[in-house]
Amino acid sequence: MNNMSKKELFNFISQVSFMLDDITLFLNTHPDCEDAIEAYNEFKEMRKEAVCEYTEAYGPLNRYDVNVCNYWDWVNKPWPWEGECGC
Amino acid sequence: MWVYEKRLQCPVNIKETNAKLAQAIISQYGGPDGELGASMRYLSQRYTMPYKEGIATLNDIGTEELGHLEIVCTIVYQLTKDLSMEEIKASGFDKYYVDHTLGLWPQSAGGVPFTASEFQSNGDPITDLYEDMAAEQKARTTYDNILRLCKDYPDVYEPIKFLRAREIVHFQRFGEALRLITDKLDEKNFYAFNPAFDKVAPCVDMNKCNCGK
Repeated sequence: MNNMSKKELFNFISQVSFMLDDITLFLNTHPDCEDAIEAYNEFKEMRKEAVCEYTEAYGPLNRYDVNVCNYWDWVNKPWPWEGECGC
Repeated sequence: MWVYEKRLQCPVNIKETNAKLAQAIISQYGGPDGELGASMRYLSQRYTMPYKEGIATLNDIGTEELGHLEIVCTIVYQLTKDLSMEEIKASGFDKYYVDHTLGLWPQSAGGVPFTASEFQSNGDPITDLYEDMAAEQKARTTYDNILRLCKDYPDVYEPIKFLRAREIVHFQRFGEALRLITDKLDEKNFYAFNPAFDKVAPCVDMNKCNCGK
């Protein structure tokens, strides 16, 4: 994830999260599928690392991960429906 | 985007079934002042809220309300789990049972289905926030009514008391959001225009103005 722009990192998180959304649906009906479990673990790590990096550099994606110093920047724009990722 | 967490915001462990109580409490799922309407109201209103503190408030309270309808449903589920046919008939639960068995379905205590007509997304942030504050008070009253019905059932009483307390916190936060908004408007007439729609206040005296509004 090194050298990714804010926009690239944000898009990467969206993509890897969607992979997890899709794999977890599959796993719900195939809970013992080894290939899917392996893919899940791989994407889970990728997402964790990317979200951590994004949060550190650009601000929180969810309200349990806000790095607060002197301002609660959870309230800051943009919100996702405002049509930009803030890049 | 939402992510589900496999936990309740407040624990629910009901040991005794009570179908009569369940029929009253289900109103806070799909009734006129229930949690489903609350959540849909705030999550619908947040798009046109022009101020960031107001957006965050609507977003996060709307999200918490999803957690609350889960608590209400859990209470109803546990109160009706493993009911016998005798209990269903004796408690008057048969009228719900005939359409839904023991499934959870959003309706009022009187059997009226959930409808979006129970809330408004008006597009004026002041109007919306007044509605939100009223909604929290109406839900608080409903929880007070439920508390009177379940005072002898501590397993039910405790989570209902928790939900009631959250109505009061939400009322306070919406009140603060409303105040933050009015601070940004003309104190002589907060309602001169809709800050989410009008760029400037529509002119009142047409004779003195050429702006065409």
